[in-house]
Order: sequence, then C-alpha cells, then structure tokens
Amino acid sequence: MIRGYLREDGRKGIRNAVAVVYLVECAHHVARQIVEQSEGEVQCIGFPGCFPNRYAQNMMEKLCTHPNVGAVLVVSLGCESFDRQRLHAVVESSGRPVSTMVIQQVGGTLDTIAQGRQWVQEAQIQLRDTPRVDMAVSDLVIGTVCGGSDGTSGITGNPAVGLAFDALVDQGARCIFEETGELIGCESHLASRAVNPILAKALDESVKKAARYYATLGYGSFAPGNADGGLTTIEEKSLGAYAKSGSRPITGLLKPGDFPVESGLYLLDVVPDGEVRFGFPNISDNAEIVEMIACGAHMTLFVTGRGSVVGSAISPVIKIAANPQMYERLSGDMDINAGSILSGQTTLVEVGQQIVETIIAVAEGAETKSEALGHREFILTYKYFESNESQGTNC
Amino acid sequence: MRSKDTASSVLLLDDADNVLVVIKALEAGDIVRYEGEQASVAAPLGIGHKLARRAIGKGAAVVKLGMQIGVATQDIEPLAHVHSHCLASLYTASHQRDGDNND
Repeated sequence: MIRGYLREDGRKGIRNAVAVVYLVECAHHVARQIVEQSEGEVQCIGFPGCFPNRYAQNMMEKLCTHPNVGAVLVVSLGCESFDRQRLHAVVESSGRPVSTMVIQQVGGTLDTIAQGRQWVQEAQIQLRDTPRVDMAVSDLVIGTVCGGSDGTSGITGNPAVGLAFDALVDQGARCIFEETGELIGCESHLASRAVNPILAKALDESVKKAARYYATLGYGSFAPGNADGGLTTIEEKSLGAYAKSGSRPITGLLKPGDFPVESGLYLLDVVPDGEVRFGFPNISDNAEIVEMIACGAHMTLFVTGRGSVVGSAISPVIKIAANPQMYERLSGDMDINAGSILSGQTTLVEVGQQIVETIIAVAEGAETKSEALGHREFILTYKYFESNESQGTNC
Repeated sequence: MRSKDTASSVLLLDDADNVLVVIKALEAGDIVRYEGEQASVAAPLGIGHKLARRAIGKGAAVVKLGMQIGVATQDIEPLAHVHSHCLASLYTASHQRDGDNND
C-alpha cells in the first residue's frame, strides 16, 4: 500500500522534501551550501536569470507547491527581477512552511547559509508531522520522456512504457508524454486518438508548431547518433518515441505547469508559442523532466538507448534501458532492462508489468538508482507561452 | 560463410511492416532467412538497423511499426539494408556526419 504525504490542497506526495530555491544565479552558491550542509532530503532548485519571465515564475510556483515538496526556503540576492513576494505568498497559501531570505538584507554569504541551515532543520521537524494517507494508483501522475535514443528505444523501452501507460490509465492514473518536436509524422495518428474534435485539432497544431519552430532554429530533432543506431528518418524516430504513449485515447493537451485535472493520457506541449525567442525549447533532457514535474508528475519514466545517467530534484526518475549492450555497461544507473526483450529473456508485456511494479515500489518509498546515487538535477530556462501572459501567471 | 542462427536476428514489429529490425548484430557474410527469402549480409549491421522484409519498389511507402516512415528512393531487394541510401523522409532531410557508413 502506498502511504502518501497529504498536503493541505488535498494532493498527495510520495516524497517529503525541503526545496531550497535560488531566484538568480547570484544566489546559487548560498542555496547550494545550505543544501550541502543539511541532512536528509533537501534539494537545490532555482532559476539563473535576472530578467523577468512569466513562464519561469509560473513554473517555480508549481514546482514549489508540488506534492513531493513539504517546505520551501527561498534564497534571493535582493536585486533580481524574480517576484519573490509572489512566490512566497503562493507557497504560504498552500499551507507549506516557507521562508524568504534576502542575502543583501541578511548580511551576506555566511549569515544566510547559517540562518538557512537553521530554518531547514526547523522545517524538517515540522515535516515529521505531515499526515500520511493511503494513496491509490489513481492518485498518481506519471510522466515519460526518452533521451539518447537509438533503434532499440522504439522497439523495447518505449512500447513497454506504452503498455505500462495503458495499465496505469485503466487504473485511473494521469499519464503524460511529451516532445511535440519528436512527434513529427505522428500528427494525424495523434489527432485520431483525441477524445473530441477540438482536441484533435489542437494536437495536430501543436506538432505543426513544433515543426515550424525547429525549422526556424535550423535544427531538427535528429542527430547523427540516431542514424548510427539504425534510425533513418525523423518520422521513424518519432514513431519510436510515440510508442511511449501506449494506445489509450488522448484526454488533453497540457502546457508546462498545467495540472491534468482528470484521469487519462495527456500530451505535454513543450514548444513555446509565437515567434522563436530564447533559443531551443528544451536544452537538455532535465528541462523536459522539470516540465513534467511542474505538471504534477510524481515520477518520470526515462527510456534511454545510448545511456543517460540523470535523475531529478523533486520527483524520482525511473531509468529504463532500451539497449541490452548499453545495459551491460551502465547497469548501475538503470532501474529496468528493457533490452532483455531483444535476447528473448523477457517479453514486452513482462517489462511493461515490471515498469508498473517499479512505479508502485518507488511510490511506496523505494529509492531509484538515480536517487540512491545522489542525482538531483534541475534546470529551468526562459520560455514564452501565451497562457502565462494573461491575468496573473496561474492557469 | 559463417554459420549462425540468423532467424532470431531480425524482428517483425507489425504485420503491416515491409521492414524487419536487426536485434542481434550481423556481420558481413551472415545469411539471413525470413519468410522464404534468403540473403547474404553485405556489410556489418548493428542492432536497430532495418532490412527489407520483401522487395520494395522505388517510390513505395516504407512501413515500420504499422506506420509509414518515408519513401523508397530506389528499388530495394528482399533482406537488403534499408537506410538513408534508399529511404527518404517525407518531412525533413536527415543529416548525418560526412563519411558515415552507419555501422
């Protein structure tokens, strides 16, 4: 039985972390020192930029009120543009312990680290009293990404995740897949799975937007390593990635930070709206993982063929090796060996079941490989979404 | 000629497919047999590469996982390697490093 941490908004978490949040790179060292000098599950997250960005503000508000986060320490230099009062107020109204420390007011590096460590210790004592409640599969939000793909990703790890997603959706979970730039060629099939015609049109348009965006950047989501691994065309790579979504109807289209309100399968549109600005949509896999988490993902399934080692702050990452040769080399980083399908040791159905069992175990508190190894990667950069620009930043 | 169980070296992903996926590395000279067809492998092929399940004519759709992944740019013999030399995207061209032989 999963015993979740009950938050005041009714959502349930599978971890009970303290987040230490820097609001500009200038406050990063102080935040990191507070984390490194603290015991227990204390994590450093933050935003590097000094210029304002509504997307980043919205993302940080969603991340700091994620059900896996129990308390938040905001570390500000003092002169950056990030709206720290607003972030503080959002966290406070969620019922979580929160404190904001402004380095310029507290008195510099050492005093802020000392006060920060003290506050974290006190918050951790409060967090011991977080109510624990039963949690069902239908309470879970699960994301999936793939990275370092090769010709095995689309035939082992990704379809196995697809089977797991089917099982989870059938049990009432909320499941999210992503990267519209890697669904080019799948748009008509995607649209055919939409629960209504309006959504079908939106899904089709989101992939076309991604195709335009990447064309302007002069970059397609197809790297030489993909061809080395046997993939020939972008639509072939897309099909492999698309297999992660399983076969259930698509319930909705999310933007980063949107919570999936009902059970079902969702596509996360990670490509910014409007003209190209701020560069590549997601500069690395963790940027996608962070967006999944901002949508409420309790954990992320990460399928990798070439072999990624990352984890994440806030929500655990379950790494699924698609390639049996890579698994041999990187088994210390991999939670599941889907490559065993190729040698006939297991079947897709068995690996799909193993993924579901691993999700339950991790929700019950078992550490993933990346958690045990200390991976707590986090990255948040500039983006533009129309939905963030309207009244306030909440959608 | 090497002797090897090549029947289990390739995998059909969907009944509608006209390509097979290599799931055990093949070496030059290996004989691949599938559905009554037989061919000798011309050059080493890693896991994840594709072979033609049957003859594919120039201009025909190449189908994998039950969906079209592009169009044949030349006639393809049964069990021949299917890659960028004979398969093109209907969307954007795929870029490769110069001199790559896809091994």
